[in-house]
Amino acid sequence: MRRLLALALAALLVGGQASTNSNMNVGGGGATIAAGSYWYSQTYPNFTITGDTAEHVFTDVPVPPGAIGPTGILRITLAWTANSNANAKTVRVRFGSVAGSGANANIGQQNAANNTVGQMQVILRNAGATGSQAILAGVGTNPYIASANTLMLTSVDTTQISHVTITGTLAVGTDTMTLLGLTVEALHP
Amino acid sequence: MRRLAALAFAVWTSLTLAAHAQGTYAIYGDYPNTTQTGTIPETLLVAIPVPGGAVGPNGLAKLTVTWTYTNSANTKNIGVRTGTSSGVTGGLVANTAVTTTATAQTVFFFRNNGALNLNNVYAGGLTPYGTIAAGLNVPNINTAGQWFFNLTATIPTAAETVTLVGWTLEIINP
Repeated sequence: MRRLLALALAALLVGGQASTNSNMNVGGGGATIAAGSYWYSQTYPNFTITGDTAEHVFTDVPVPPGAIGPTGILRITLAWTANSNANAKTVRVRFGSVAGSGANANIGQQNAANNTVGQMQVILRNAGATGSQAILAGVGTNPYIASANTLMLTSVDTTQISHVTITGTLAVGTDTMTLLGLTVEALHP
Repeated sequence: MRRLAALAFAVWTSLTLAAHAQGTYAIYGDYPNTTQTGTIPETLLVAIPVPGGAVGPNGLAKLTVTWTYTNSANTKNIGVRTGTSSGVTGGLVANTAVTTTATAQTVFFFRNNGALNLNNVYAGGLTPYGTIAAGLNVPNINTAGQWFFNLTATIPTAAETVTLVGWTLEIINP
């Protein structure tokens, strides 16, 4: 019950978006998210930031405890739009244990300067344990690529509620950036 | 070798589902963190057994893999083979060459083409969404019986390494 209340509270901390969460049991799944399950969150926040240069939270998706098990992945896909000019406009995908926090680990980012729309995907893989993750680092919008960076490692306890937090930062406050849609998929083998 | 055998057995036992019905979606995966080093010839890192009938006549097997390797000018090859046996065997349906990078993530699409023994692979590897002049690879293995994704690596010198960090297999049956 406390977990459910925490999930509900986390959902209330971010505003403006309709959220659809689902657990599709594809194997051994039951009342809880178990091995063989697929959970997803599909939202269309259509949330715009403008007016200052602080990092703002577009939206936050709480991921249920145990959603990816020790060897599963989170696959995060998002689309955004921005006014096109040379000023930096940075969208970030953060992952951590705190709802809507800019302090959650930055596991992927892209600068939208000189572009009007963008689409990005990030894959986070639990590294054989529920409290250890590996992410291809510094690859921008495309997770299917080779990188000179070593894997980024985080240590979020995914047996508890974890959070995918999408943020935006404008270099010039008069610019705008809008998070359109966000899909978070949890694949639990 | 014993580690590889144990790993192969663990993977084997994790994929015990029977044929998947129409309209199903199944997830498999592991984090083997298996490394090839010291031996130059193509070496099996992970054999993923796919149950017979798991991919229907119009089904899709989508395999996402994360790799790390030595960052050097020498070419390291990451191979994906499909066949009815495990090992460095079966048709090489995708090969990705890497050099002066350190990590990579690849995704492969194996589709049955209207029948269980007709299949094709878009071998983009690091460019899974794009265009390829060479066309599709057509292994045409009979997926009515058990078959394998054999993930291999070839290193240029014994001192270099390729590590298969983790893999995720999604099977989608319309």
